[in-house]
Order: sequence, then C-alpha cells, then structure tokens
Amino acid sequence: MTVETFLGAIDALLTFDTMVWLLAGVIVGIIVGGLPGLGPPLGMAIILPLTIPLAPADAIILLVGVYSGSMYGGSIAAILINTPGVSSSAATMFDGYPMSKQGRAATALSVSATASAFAGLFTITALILFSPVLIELVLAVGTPERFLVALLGLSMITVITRGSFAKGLLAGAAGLLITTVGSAQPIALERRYADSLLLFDGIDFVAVLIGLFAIAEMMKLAGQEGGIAEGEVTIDRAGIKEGIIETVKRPVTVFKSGMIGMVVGAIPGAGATVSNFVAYSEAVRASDDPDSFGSGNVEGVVASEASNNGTVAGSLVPAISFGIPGSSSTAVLIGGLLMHGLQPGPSMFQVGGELSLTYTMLLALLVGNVVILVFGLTAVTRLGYLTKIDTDYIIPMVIVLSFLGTYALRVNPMDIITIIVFGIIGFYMVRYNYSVIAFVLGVVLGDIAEDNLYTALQLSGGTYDIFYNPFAHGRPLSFLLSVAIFLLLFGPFIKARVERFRGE
Amino acid sequence: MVQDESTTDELLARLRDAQRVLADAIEPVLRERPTMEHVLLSLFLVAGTYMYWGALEFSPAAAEFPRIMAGATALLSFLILVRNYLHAVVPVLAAVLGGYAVYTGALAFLADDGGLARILVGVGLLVATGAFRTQLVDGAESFIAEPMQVLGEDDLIGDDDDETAADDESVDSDAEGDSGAMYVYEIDDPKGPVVTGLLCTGYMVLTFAIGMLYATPVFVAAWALWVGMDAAKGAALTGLGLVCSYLFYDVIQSDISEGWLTGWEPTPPDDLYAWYVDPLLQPLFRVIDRYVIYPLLRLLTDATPLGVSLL
Repeated sequence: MTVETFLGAIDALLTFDTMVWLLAGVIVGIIVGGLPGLGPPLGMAIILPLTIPLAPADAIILLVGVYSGSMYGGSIAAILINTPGVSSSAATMFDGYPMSKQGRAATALSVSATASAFAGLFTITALILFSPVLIELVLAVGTPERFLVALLGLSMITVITRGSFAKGLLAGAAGLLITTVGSAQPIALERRYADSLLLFDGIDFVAVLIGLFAIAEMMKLAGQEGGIAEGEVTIDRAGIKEGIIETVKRPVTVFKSGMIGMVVGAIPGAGATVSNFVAYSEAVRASDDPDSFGSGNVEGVVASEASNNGTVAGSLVPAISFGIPGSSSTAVLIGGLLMHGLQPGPSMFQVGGELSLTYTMLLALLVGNVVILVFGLTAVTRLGYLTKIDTDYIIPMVIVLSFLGTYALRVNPMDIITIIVFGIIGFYMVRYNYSVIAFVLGVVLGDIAEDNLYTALQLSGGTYDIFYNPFAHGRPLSFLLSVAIFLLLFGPFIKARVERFRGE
Repeated sequence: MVQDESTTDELLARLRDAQRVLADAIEPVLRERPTMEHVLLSLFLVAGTYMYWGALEFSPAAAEFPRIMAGATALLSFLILVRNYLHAVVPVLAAVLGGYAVYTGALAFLADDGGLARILVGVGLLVATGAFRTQLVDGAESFIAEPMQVLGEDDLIGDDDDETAADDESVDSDAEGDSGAMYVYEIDDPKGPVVTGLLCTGYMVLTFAIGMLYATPVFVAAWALWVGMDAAKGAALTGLGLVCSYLFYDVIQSDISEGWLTGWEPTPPDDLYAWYVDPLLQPLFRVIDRYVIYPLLRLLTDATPLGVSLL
C-alpha cells in the first residue's frame, strides 16, 4: 500500500503545474537566499499568503522549493562579498571568500552548488528510505505523548539557545498564549477577551510569522550598513568544471557533512547554523592540513554547504511528524501546512491521510536539488548581480509584499496591526536575546498542543497524572517523556548543585 | 543608507533627552539601566496577567490552556523583570505558590481523591523555602538571569548613546554566534529601525484611511524620500509599488482598496485611466489605427503567397 502511495506521489509530482511551481520555488529561493539580509524564513513567509489560490500540494512544493533553494542561495553572498545571505552559510565565508579573492569565485560557487545538491540528494533519499520506520514510530505515539513531545521540542529549544533558560521558556509560553486568542480551533471552544470583535477570529499566525520574519528583519536591515558588493568580482566560467571535480573528489566530506546536517537539523532549534559550524569544525579536525582552513580550502566550502542542505531533510522529520519545527523555515512550512488545512502529525503518514503529499514533498525536494545543481552551475557567472542590489530597494518592496500578502488573505485590519506589533516585538526579542524560534514554535504549535492536551485530559478524566504516572493509565512513554523534559530543563542546575555539594 | 539627517537627528535627540530623564528616574528602582527589554517584559507581564484573569470567564475546558500559558508568561516575565531582587522575591513567591498548591491540592483530594501531586509539589516548595532558601535563590538566579544582565552593568542602552547601542549589539552578536535558535546581527544606524517602524505604522494608518491600493505607493515614495533616493529611481520604485498593489487588487482581492476606518474607496487606476487618460489618447489611437494598423492588415489580407490568404 505504501509503495502504491509512493508511486502515486511520483505521478503527482511529474505534472507540468507541479514542476513549474517547484522550479519557481527553487529559483525564488536562490534569489532570496542570495540577497544579503534575506533568508529562507523571510522568503517563505512572504510567499505563504500568495499560495492561497494554489492546491495544497503545489503550495507546499513551492514552499519547500524556496526553502531548499535559499539554503544554497545563501552561499552566493558569503562567497562573493563575505556576508552570508543566510546565517546557515556563515561558515562558507571562512574559505569561500578567500577563494573569491584569489580569483576562484566560480570554483567556490560551483563547489557550493554541487555539494549542496549532492548532500541534499542523499539526505532526502535517506529520509525516504527511513520513512517506513518513521511512519511506524509516529503512528505509535498517542495523544498525551504528542502533547509532551511538543513540550519536549520547546524545552530543547530553550536548552539549545544559549543564555537564560527563563527567556527561552517565556518566549515559548508567550507564543503559545497568542494562539489562545479567539476560538480554540480544534475543539471549537469560544474565547473572547474584552468582547473584542477584532480579535474574534483570533490572531492569524501567518500575520505573526510575517511580522516576526519580514518586518522585524527589515527593521534590522534598515539599521545595517554594507552587504552590497562594491567592486567587480571576476567569475570565470572555467572554474565551474574545477568546482565539480573538487567536490566529487571529496565524497567522504560531502557524506559526513550532509549526515551531520541531517542529524543536527532534526533537533528542534538547532537548525542549519549549528550544523554548519559543526560540520566545518569536523572537516578541520579530520583534515591532514588544518592550518589551510580559513585561507581558501575547498574542503571548508564543501563541508559547510553540504551540511546546510542536509539540514533540510533533518528538520522535516520533527516538523511533519509532530508539528515541531527544527528551524524557523520549517516553522513557516508548518504554517503553510496548517493554512492549507493539513495537520502535521500522524495524518501525514497515513495511507488514507496525507502520506501521498508527504512523499510528493520529499520527492520534490529530491528534484529541487537537481534544479539547484543545474541552475547553480549554469547561472554561476550571473549570480554576482544579486549581491549588487541595494537594500534601499529591497526593504520597501519586502514590506509592501508583506502588507499586501497579509491583508489580501482575509482583509482583516487586525492582521495589519498584528504584523506591525509582532514586527516590533520580534525586533526587540532578537535584540535582547529572546528566542524567536521558541516564540514561533509556540505560535505554530498552540492549536496542536491544546487539542492534544484537551483530548488527553478527557482520557484521564481531567487529571494530569496521565502525563507522569506510568501505572495509572498504562502510558510508560508519557512518563519517560516527562522525565526527559524535567531533566532537560533542570538537569544542568541539579548537576551543578551536586558537583558543588561534592566539592564542598 | 543615506538619509536626510537634520530633522530626524533633531527629533531623535529630543527623544533621547526625554528617555534619559525617564531612565534616570527608573534606574534606582530596577537596579539597572532601563532598556526596551523592560518594556517588552512589561508588555508580556500585562498581557499574561490580563489574559489569566480574562480566561476565568471562559468555560472550564476553554480556560485550561490559556490559564496555564498566561500564568507561565506572567510569572516568567515578572521573574526576569525583578532579576535584581530575586533573593527577596523568590522565597516569597515559592512560599505563596507552595501554599496555593497545597490548598488547591487538598481541596481536590477531599473532593475526589485527586490533587496528590499538587500537594507534593506544594510541600516541596514550602520545604525549599524554609530549609534551602540560599540554594533556591541561587538556582533561580542561574535559571533566570544571564550574568551580563544582573545589575545591568553591560546593558546601557538607557544611556541612549548611538555608539554604545551599536557596540552592545556587536557584543551580543559575538556572544550568540553559534546558536541556530537566535539571529545574529549588528546595528550600525539606530535610526534605521526606528524610522522603518514609524513608516510601517504610517503605512498602516494610511491603509485604514484610503485603502492599501494607494497607501502602498505613498509608503514607497516616503521611504525613497527618507533614504534620499534620486528622483528617477524613487519614481520608478514608487511605480513598482503601485503595480504590486494593483496586481493584488486586480487578481487577488479587490477589497484592499477600501479604507477600513473611513469606508472610502478611492477610484482605482483602471477607472481613472478609462475616464481621464483614454479619452485623451483616443485621437492618437485612431490615427495609429488609420495609418498603421489598417494598412498593415490590408497588406496581410491581400498577400496570398502560394495562393493561400494569410488572414
């Protein structure tokens, strides 16, 4: 049955419309990723309202195309002007920019396209092959456990975020709180604060996402100087072939970095930025000539670029399995799923549910990586133009598209207020080290978490012991998850106390 | 980014003076220089508290989730806000929460044998307050505060010196460099975000007054003026803004042209064209038709290569 669904997904992907949306998504993604200051979540957030007229499958494919394309696109600015288009390409600068200064910009861009595509191809293939096990795993998890998995994801983000735990938790709780305005969608319970008609439909999460990612980012960009290429960078076509050969000669680095990206990407909150540095560090550690890193070593570009595209596959695992975004981009992707009436979780893996769409999405990513390879290599000599576009032109157009896209969705004035309010809140949250991804996770996860909490409490007769008492309701997994959450949040403090006590 | 410095600089200087006076007054209370973080935390605290009480009016099933989240939001924001008073606040708070948990747990236990876990947690908090006060405060401090923020020595945005603000951003950026859960950035020009926020607010107000169709090019023109863009480029960008809004109006949603507050819907560009521009151009079109299009069509009609008429 799963094989039939898989074949059906291939059939659905290989239609003209779907392929056009995929192609458009990847190209838009490369452009958005290549523009300094923009990145996958922003590009996806702006595209999100525009997907309304599309069929769900086409909309999701467009979004994953943007996601995948911008992961590669981020390397363009990193290599050419020493400014990562996206934070996940930061490590690419270390060796990519020196290569560019040595007159090997084409080689570096070609290495980036090839390593991104190869790593993307095999990590998505691995995910497709692993999917039957994943399906079993997801379908075995019940309602109380899904609520706890959501809390676990939130806890992991607060742990991974350096700095104050309380700030991470506050961001997550505030995000969840936003979703309680208006009726509780899954269980149809009405809630009206201050009898406000404007808030009757709740706060639209698409407007929140656009505010946090587009408006806050544009406010940030308006305060920054530079990021625009000043001089001419020579991009010689001859370097393209050299770049392909250099990448093919390093299969171990591509494979290892891609796998690092995939594993790290599956950890909520870690994302491509972390995997990027982990893979780069591992390449330095494993190298016979570690001193050459930072001065134009191809291995550094291969490791960095293979890892960030590998992250895409990894971050999809918690996103489509439990609705927990591994990164900001997957948070927007989940927003897209919800906007098109698709619920992340078991239904995404059921043959009678959305399994076909899940496979189509994964196959689209597979094809998307081929597009990255072809487009990346053929357009190498033209990619430098992206780094010459002044932010003075980018900022107003992004704001305009954000406003128009948000308002056109429902023509609800509250949505415009929402994007401005959350744009300002997002700007200051980032400024003072409050995890935006934890906040977004809360916003995206709110309805799912509440639905599961409500159902779990109904199963337990209203008592919370269903989450921690393994004997009362025969749910040992709930108990284990509760212990894991407790240890994640309080483990470091308990450990510090114990160590201090032993020292005394 | 190049802007007209004089007016905005003057305005910002006045704002900074007012902010400095306010910051000087609040600093002794907070034991640290007030920043926009305190405003953010106050916002969370007020929203959390309001929504906690607001949720009391909902049905029990609808109130459960909002009360937990609102309670958590209010509690955490309060604790971060009073991070320099944790030694005094945490024991009191723990005792109050412990007492409340024991009380509600006991009520639940008497009613239906439930609430045992709540009683245990409550007793634990009360014992911690009495017997392990120092450890409780130490734990709370490491849970809540970042070392650099305690006593606020390194967080001096309240001084409102642009350079200091920019430097602080740089320090933050460096410290946060390897976390994917955060953004990393530097602020070179503190005016940029402020003006962008104000222009966005103006865009919103204008949208509510005249609709988004025409508010959009006005916003883009205002932006072009602010950054000191030259006239031709500014006009082109404004035109692009109008094209974007018109496409949204024409293809996706025509209601965006109506001002929500005023109910006014300015005449859309296609009607304006039909009423004012098209009549002016008609004579020109007729000339083109008569002397260019018709002769061309006649030529094509008459041409019969291989005996087959083209039209």
